[in-house]
Amino acid sequence: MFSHIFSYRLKTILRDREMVFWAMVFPLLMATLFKIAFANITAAGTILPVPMAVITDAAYHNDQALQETLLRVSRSDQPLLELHPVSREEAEALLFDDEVAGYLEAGRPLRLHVASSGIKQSILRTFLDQYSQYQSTAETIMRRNPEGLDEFISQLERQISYTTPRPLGRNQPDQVLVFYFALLAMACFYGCYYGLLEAKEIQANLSYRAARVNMSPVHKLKAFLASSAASLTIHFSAQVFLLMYLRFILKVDFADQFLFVLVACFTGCVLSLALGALIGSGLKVSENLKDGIATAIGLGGSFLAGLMYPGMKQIVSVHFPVVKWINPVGILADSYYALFFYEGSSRYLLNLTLLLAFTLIFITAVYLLIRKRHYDSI
Amino acid sequence: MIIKVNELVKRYGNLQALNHLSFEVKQGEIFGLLGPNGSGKTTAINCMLSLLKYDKGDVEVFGKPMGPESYELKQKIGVVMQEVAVFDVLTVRENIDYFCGLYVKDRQKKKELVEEAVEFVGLQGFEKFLPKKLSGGLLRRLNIACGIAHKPELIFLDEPTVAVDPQSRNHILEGIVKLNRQGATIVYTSHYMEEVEQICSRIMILDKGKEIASGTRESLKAMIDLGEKCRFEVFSIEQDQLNRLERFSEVSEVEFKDSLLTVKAHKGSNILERILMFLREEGIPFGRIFSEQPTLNDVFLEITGRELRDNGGDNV
Repeated sequence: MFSHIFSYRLKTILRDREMVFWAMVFPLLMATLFKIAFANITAAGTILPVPMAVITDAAYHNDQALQETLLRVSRSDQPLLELHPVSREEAEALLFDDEVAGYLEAGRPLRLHVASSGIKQSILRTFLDQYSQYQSTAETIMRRNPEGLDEFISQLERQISYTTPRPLGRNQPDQVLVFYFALLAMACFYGCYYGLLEAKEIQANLSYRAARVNMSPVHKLKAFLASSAASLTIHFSAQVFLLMYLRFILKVDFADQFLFVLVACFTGCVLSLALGALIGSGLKVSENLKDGIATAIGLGGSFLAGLMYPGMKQIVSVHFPVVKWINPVGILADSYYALFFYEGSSRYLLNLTLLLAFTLIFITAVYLLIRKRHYDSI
Repeated sequence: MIIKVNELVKRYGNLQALNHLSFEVKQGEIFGLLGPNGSGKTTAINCMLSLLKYDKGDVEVFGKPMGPESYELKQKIGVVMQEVAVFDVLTVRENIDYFCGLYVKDRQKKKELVEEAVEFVGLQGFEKFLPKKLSGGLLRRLNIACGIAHKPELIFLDEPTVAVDPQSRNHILEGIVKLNRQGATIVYTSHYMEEVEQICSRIMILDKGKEIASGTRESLKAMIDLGEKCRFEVFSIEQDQLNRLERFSEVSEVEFKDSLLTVKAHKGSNILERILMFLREEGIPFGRIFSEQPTLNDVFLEITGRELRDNGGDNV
């Protein structure tokens, strides 16, 4: 009987075009769109070295410390600057053609000319501010101990890079990944719709087909389990496919934690299905309203997890910590993020425990509702 | 006794849907539950099947108390609901196979039963069709096939011919009689009196959740003081002539309206010849003549004072 119900449920779900689109195709499209949209952001992340012109006038030739500093920061292994020593006219032309982010005029004070504002210009300004603060020190070092200039420059670079987050764990924090992880969590919580469907197909007061099943000699809970197992199989398979697509086609980094990602994903699938079944069987509202509630949980939860604005994750964490712990979509997204970012597994395990706790609560509630075998009204 | 219902009471808030309803269904009969919409027919079936909780009373099926977990009893029961309950994304054959498979585990046997059900409801050639491609009548037939494919001993048919064209309706009614001849006991609900009159061996008329009459067609008609009803197309007739007609001992009621003279006779009386003679003697020209015996609608009308096919409410 299990295989009979299971196989027919597989058929009915796979032939439901609307369900297939929203639960399987839509997340793939979203992920692809993210990849296209974030391609430029990623490219913008590799902004060093910053092209800068310097006017080779008398002031520049007289400032040995500046010359030496600029040469070293433009010739290191990871150069900060792409230096263009040119005349004033050439510098202006380069700036006009957007070939350089700015040009420098030696002297006291140093003068930086830029045509626009942006990350590259900020880097130049920060570097030169730092240099100006220590200009006299650099000149003294140059005069008395030219070998010490390397250490001085490396300190300058360190101070500049101080504005860039340093990895605290496994990887650098990556805002783009927040989008992907929130998307994965959102797709996982499409399982709510499967849960709604399962409730509808087993509760005689929700559909005539369910009434027919209830009139048959099949144990209601067994029928529900067989049917839900088919939904879970399809939903989890779709999630694994989405993960594969992200990992191998879109090259999203999961920090080689794929097995743990799958564990979190499976837990999320069971949780979302149970949540949907709970909404479907527990709420005495219209079918449309139930769909709306499931959508609100999935979309609202993924918004709070950073799907539309990655900073939201931080805002929720700081200002609404309670929401952070009761938003299952956010917890699932954070599980993925914890695997990617943190060295240890404690945060991942905490999230997984929370997900399992939610799952247990929802399944118990669904059991209590579904086990009812006759109704007050149909 | 296949079904024994004793003092069944079901309330929806203040509405009493079933009011101390008692009846029995014998093996091999087609038992008709007749009543207007909202009279409690569907509620009675759902209570018998233990889908609905009831407030008082007992239901026994095949001599055993019927409950939600009476799987042994459910195995012998087939249900055809008023609403079409099939999967839109499964074909005709798959739908029948799915619902048959809830009762029959053996694959080969199930396959044979599905074949038989397709043939029985006349859906050969439509096996690979999706339900949305079927006409209303064919869809109803599919609904029936899904309910009876496992060859149940007891079949509940809840208004299976609603919104069905006459051809399909006849096909369905013939099928029900055939199922009965094959040994199935049938409980049939309808608010179409002609259908019930046509196929049911015993009938119970329900109104407001209460039995108002029960028996065979003949015994129900015998309950009321109504015999033959004759209608004549008459251009005009004097009041005096109408009064004289009314004084005939066999006549219970005379009415002249819109050029139609209606004369009703008392129970057991036939008046056609007598009235024809009167019209000729009086020189009253007449056109077409209609004569009919009392129907279940007349029975219902006589007992309740209102039409059987009213729309008193939803399916209660």
